[in-house]
Amino acid sequence: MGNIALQRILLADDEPDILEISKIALETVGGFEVSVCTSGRSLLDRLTEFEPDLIIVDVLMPDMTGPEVFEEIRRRPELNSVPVVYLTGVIQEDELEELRGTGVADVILKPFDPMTLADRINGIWTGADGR
Amino acid sequence: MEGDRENRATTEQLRKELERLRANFLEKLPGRLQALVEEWNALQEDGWSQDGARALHRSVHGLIGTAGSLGFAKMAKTARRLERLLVALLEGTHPPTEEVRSEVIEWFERIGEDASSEAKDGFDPSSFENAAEWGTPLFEPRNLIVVVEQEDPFARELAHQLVHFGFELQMFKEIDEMVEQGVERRPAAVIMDLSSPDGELIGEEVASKVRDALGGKVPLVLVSNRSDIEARLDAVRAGCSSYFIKPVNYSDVLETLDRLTRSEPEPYRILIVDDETDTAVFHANSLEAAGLETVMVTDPLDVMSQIVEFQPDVILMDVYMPGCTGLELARVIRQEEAFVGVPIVFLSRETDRMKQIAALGEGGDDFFTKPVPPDQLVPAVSARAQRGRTLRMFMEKDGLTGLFRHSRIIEQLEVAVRRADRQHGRLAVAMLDIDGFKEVNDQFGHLVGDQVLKALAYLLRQRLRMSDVLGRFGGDEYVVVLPDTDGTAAMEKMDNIRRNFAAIDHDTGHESFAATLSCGVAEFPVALTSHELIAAADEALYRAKRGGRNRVLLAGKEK
Repeated sequence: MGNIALQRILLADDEPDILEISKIALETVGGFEVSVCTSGRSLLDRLTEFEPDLIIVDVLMPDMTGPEVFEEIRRRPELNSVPVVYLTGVIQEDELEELRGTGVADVILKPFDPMTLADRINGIWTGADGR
Repeated sequence: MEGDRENRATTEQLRKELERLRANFLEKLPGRLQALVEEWNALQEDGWSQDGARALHRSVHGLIGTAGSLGFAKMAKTARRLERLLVALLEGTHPPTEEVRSEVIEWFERIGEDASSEAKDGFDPSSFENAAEWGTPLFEPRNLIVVVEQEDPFARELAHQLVHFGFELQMFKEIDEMVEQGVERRPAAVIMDLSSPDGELIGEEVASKVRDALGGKVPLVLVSNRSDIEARLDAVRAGCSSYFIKPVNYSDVLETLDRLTRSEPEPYRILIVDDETDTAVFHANSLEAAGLETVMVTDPLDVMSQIVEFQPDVILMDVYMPGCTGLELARVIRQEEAFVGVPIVFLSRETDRMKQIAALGEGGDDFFTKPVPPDQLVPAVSARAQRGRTLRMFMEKDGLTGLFRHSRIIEQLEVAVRRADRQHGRLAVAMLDIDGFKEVNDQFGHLVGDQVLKALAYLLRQRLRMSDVLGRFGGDEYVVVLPDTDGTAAMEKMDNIRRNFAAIDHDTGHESFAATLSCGVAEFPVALTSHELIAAADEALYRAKRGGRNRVLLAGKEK
């Protein structure tokens, strides 16, 4: 991927407030183009049309869980190089370990600091790029 | 310069946006909380359902994320506490008691109060500095126990009790159902009620089917009507860990589960004292390769502080060192009462057998000519460490409850205080006392009294973390040392234990009764030394007793 800068982020969370906070934080500070969905299913439907550089997905959603969405994404070879980041309110260390072990680029805990969110995502992007 | 200005501008813009979102959130919050309270009330009035409770839990979970990300730290923390309470309810099998119902309502009210108090402050980016702590888990993950039983009052009552002791449960009607549906995760133990349709005997075939379904070797506990030798042999051959004949004393089952679910023993700790770094490294590597933990000391004068800090099971010590000899050092170590029992193994290039024997007279337990090859060092050191630990356990642990004795818990507390002091960390101490314990003894006899004492020990062990230190101070008084925990979190934790304890049925053989406990909590650095912490916790405990028992109070807070 070389030095390509991160531009397009697709984000799914069933909590509208979180979607709004993250979208504003990522657009304002990071200058990214952000598209949001309120369910895992709609994120999967949006993939082809939006062509994200990076995907952020909430772990606990009613229709599909984050890991289920991630599994679906990994079934599509054209999305192999797209890093996926989990967003979660889980706090038990063993559950977090399990989430990290699924092969995602990173796990971001809720609540998060909106002021630094864009920097964190950029850091993950750079790290994932180096793989 | 240009970039800096741009950065400041975007930060300012984001802050304005966040202020707008905060205002929106606050405006909608009262309605949102009201709806959640109504949902909660409906759950009580229209009949308790796990699904309903789960939906409510999701809403509260979502609230934490939003409130926290908008900088409402206090509200997020309060909502997190409510979430924990809801999780505990979800894990239980019974609808909440009246007391818990009103507690949930109170938490909703407190979330509202936090919101109004935080609304005045405006958005504060520094509120995120401690964000990681908002979610620090108070408890270890629960042990899962799988129960296979028919509609049996015994099993239902047992399940009810297990939940109060902090176990998580998964129940099946029969083995095939378990095999088909699978278990949530690997359980700590399986309790099987042997009666039809699965039959009165288990047999090796069924036992291995059960193990396959569980994904490995999980202790099997059998409960049976049969006491004959054929049935018992069958259980042994099938590799079962325990066998209980009905009617079963719950206390016995709990004792077994407590034993089966105790954590894996920690690796042996070996302190290596040797001024020759190469040899020390060689020995450390051999021991670590075998899974032992080591700390090296190359200056003999550092030994005493390392012994206190590292708490070695064995000391491996060079005889000839500059400054002082190993023999002198051994004598110094033996002068400390607490370290009399730690095995010391001498190492030297000395091959003179007589000199070696003389060294043993100084309090050494063995003598090796160095360097010691790994195949000799590892078994010799492990065997001594094991014996040393067993001996120490008898010296340090209370025979009835398996918790630390008085003197030992004070030592552990001192280590914890030093650590908290050095790391500017937090630390809480709780003292617990069973309410009216003398009456329990007088009314039901000492055997039943002992059972109550043990029940509290099991509960503490199940519910608290590995890093928490548990001790019995004597009589019916217990001490818990909670590292990295502030007073408020400790209160919450102990209050949770208080509620669990009150819900346990103690069995006298023909009737059952409930007992309660009172607790006082003190925190570092409000109290600074082990002595002050104990005294402050004790004072709070005294106030809890005087205030009507069955409660947890924080030292220094009148109320």
